[in-house]
Amino acid sequence: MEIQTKQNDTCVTLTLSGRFDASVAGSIKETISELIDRDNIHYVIDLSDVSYMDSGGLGSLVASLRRVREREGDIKLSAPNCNVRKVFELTRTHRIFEFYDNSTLAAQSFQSA
Amino acid sequence: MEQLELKIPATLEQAQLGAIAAANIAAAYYRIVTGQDPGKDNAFINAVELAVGEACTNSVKHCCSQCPEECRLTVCFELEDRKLMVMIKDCNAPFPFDQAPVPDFEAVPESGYGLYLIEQTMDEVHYLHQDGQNILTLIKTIKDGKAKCSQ
Repeated sequence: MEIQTKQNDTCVTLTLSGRFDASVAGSIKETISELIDRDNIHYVIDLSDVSYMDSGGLGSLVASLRRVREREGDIKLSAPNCNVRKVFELTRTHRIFEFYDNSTLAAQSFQSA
Repeated sequence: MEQLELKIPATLEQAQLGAIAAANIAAAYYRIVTGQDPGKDNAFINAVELAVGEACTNSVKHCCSQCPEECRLTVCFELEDRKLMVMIKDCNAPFPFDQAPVPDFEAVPESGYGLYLIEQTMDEVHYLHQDGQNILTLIKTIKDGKAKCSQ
């Protein structure tokens, strides 16, 4: 799993690629946690290049979302493939995240908020 | 049909090999049974990969503390007609499979979805504790047509 980080005036975009599973969930959670500690509270997580996600990967997103919302921030998700989207739907966690077709639209949603 | 067997060290990193192997074996079985290329985003393959991955991860997370250096899990694959059977075996303490709680969706927990996802994606799930081993059997039937993951 690779993580690319890009920051602009309104949010941090994390682009994940590869397998987002239990073995890497801790490092994603830690990355976001360090960014939160530096007062970043708005995130876009681009899932378009994630080929597979399990409940461990999902759990790290739920935990991170909880932390940023405590600070009145948010995590918005972009472009999960059908396979990944299904994990959100089966666990009903699709109800707590906002999904966008691409990371640009997700980032723009913070500007208009 | 002969059984394929994979022995994996009980670490989270190695456990993912179980899921990756399952996806590749599911794709090979799909070709054998249907005579067709499974294509991308095949629902059968995705379901098997996720369920086996969750089962292997659960085995690692509950690995018996007495033997962390020797802990192994075994993943066995068998095809019977159109049914792919995957058995995940470990030497952990037995667990009350029939009493496993459904996640509290309203509370949106950060964990505890594994067994639920397995049951949602497989056609049959059976649990047995025998000869000191947990044996979780996952069964998924290959259906006609190239079912995409959205179906």
